[in-house]
Amino acid sequence: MAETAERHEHVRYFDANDPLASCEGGFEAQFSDLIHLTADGNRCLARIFAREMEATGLLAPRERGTP
Amino acid sequence: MSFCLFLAGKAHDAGVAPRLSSLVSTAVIATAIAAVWIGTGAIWTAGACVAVAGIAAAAWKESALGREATLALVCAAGAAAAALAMPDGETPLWMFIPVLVVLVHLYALQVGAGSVRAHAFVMLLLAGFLAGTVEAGFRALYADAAPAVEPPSAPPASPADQRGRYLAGLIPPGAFRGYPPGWSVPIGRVRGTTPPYEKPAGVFRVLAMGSSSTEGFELAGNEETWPGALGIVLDASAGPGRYEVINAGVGGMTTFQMILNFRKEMVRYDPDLLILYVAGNDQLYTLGPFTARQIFELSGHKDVRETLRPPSASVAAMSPANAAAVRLQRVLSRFYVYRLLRRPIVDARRMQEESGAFNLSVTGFRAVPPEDFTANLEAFAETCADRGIRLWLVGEGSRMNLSPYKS
Repeated sequence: MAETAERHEHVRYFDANDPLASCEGGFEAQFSDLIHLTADGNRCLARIFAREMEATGLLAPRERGTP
Repeated sequence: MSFCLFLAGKAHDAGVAPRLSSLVSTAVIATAIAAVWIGTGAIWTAGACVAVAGIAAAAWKESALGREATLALVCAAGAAAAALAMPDGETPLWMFIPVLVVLVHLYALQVGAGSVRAHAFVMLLLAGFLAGTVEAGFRALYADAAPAVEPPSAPPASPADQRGRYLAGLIPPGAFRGYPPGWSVPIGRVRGTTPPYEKPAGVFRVLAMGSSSTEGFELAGNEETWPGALGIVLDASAGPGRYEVINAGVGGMTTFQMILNFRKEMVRYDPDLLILYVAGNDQLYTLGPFTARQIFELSGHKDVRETLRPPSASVAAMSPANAAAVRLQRVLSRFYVYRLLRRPIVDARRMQEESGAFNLSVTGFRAVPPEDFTANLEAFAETCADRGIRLWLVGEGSRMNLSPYKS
C-alpha cells in the first residue's frame, strides 16, 4: 500500500466543478450545452489551471523542466 | 481463401482425407472472420461474414462437405445479420457466433451431422451445467468483489485494491479496459500547431488530453479551447516561449482510447505536466441512452437545472439497436462466464490497437465500465510515474472513480 501511495504522489486530482462556479456568470454560464464549455468557460478554466500551476510551483520555471 | 476452400473441396471429392479437408475449410473460414473483425469492425465484418458464407456455400456445393456446412452457413448469416443490426454500438454476442460455428463444425466432423442433431439437447444441458458451475466457482472465488456494471455508490478503497484484485485472479473487476466494437484510435491528433517531438531547452511543456471538452466542441479555433487559452495565459504570465501547451483532445474519446494514444504517441512529446480532462464519455457510452437531466448528472455536474439545453447530438443519436446492445451488455457483464469468454477477444483487440497495424476511422460508441475507467487511470498514473511526468486528473465533479485520486 505504501509503495502505491508513493507512486501516486505525482498525481493530483482536480475537480473543475467548484472553481468553474466561481467564474463570471456562475457555473452554468460556462457551458454551451450540458457538457461542453464555451470559449469564455474555457478561458476561465485556463485561468484556474494557471492559478493551480502557480500554487503548486509550476508557473515560471527557472530551469528546463523544473518548477 | 477461395483457392484454399476450392482445394479442400476437391480433396474431399476425391476422398482424400475428407476430415482434413473439412478442417482446412473450417480453419480458413474462422481465420478470415477473425482477421476481418480484428482489423476493421462490426460493419465490415458483417460484409465479410456474408462473403465467407457465400464462399462456404459454394465450397459445400462443389464438394458436398455435408450438413454441418449448412449449419455453418446459417450461423455465419446470423452473425452478419446481428452485426448489421447494431453497426454503431456494442456487439457483445455476435462475435461469439463464428466461434460457435467452428465448434459445431468440428464436432460434426467427429460424430456426423445426424449425431449433432440427436445430441443437441444433451449438449445444451451440458453447456448450461458447465457454464453454471464455472459461474458459481468464480462467484465463490470473488465473493467480495462481484462484477459491477452500475456506477459504484462509493469509490474503491484505493487504487492498490484495484491492482491487487487484478493480479489476484483471472477475471476480477478492472481486468477489462475497454470493448472492441468498430472503431480505432486516432493516434497523434493535435489541434493547433503540431510541435516537434523534441522539447526546446528551457520550455515547460504541458500536454492536454481529453475528449471534445478539450478539443473544443464547436469552437472556432484552438485559442478558444482551454489548452489554447492556458497557453495564452502562461505566455502572459511568464513571457512567450517559456511554456508550451499541446492540445491532444479528441472528441468522443474514452479513457481506453486516451491511454493507447498517450502510450503510443503522446509520450514522445516528453511533457512535464499532463492534464487529463476526463468528462463523461466512459460513463455515457457504458450506461446507455439517458434523458438530458440524467446525462448531465452522470457527467458529474452539480446544480442540475431543467432550463439547460439538451445534450449534444452525438450523445442523443445513439441508435435503438445500440441502446439495446448496451442494455444487453449490462446484463451479461454481470456474469463471470461472459467476461471470461470475452477476455481473449478484448485482449486481442487491445494488442492490435497497440500494434498500430490498423488506424481506421472512429465509428460508433465505445463503452468503458467503471472498473475499467479506474484501470485506465491507473495506467496513466503508472506511465507518468515511470517517465517523471506530473499528472493532473481533472473531472467535472465526476461521481465515478476519480475519487481514489483525491488527495
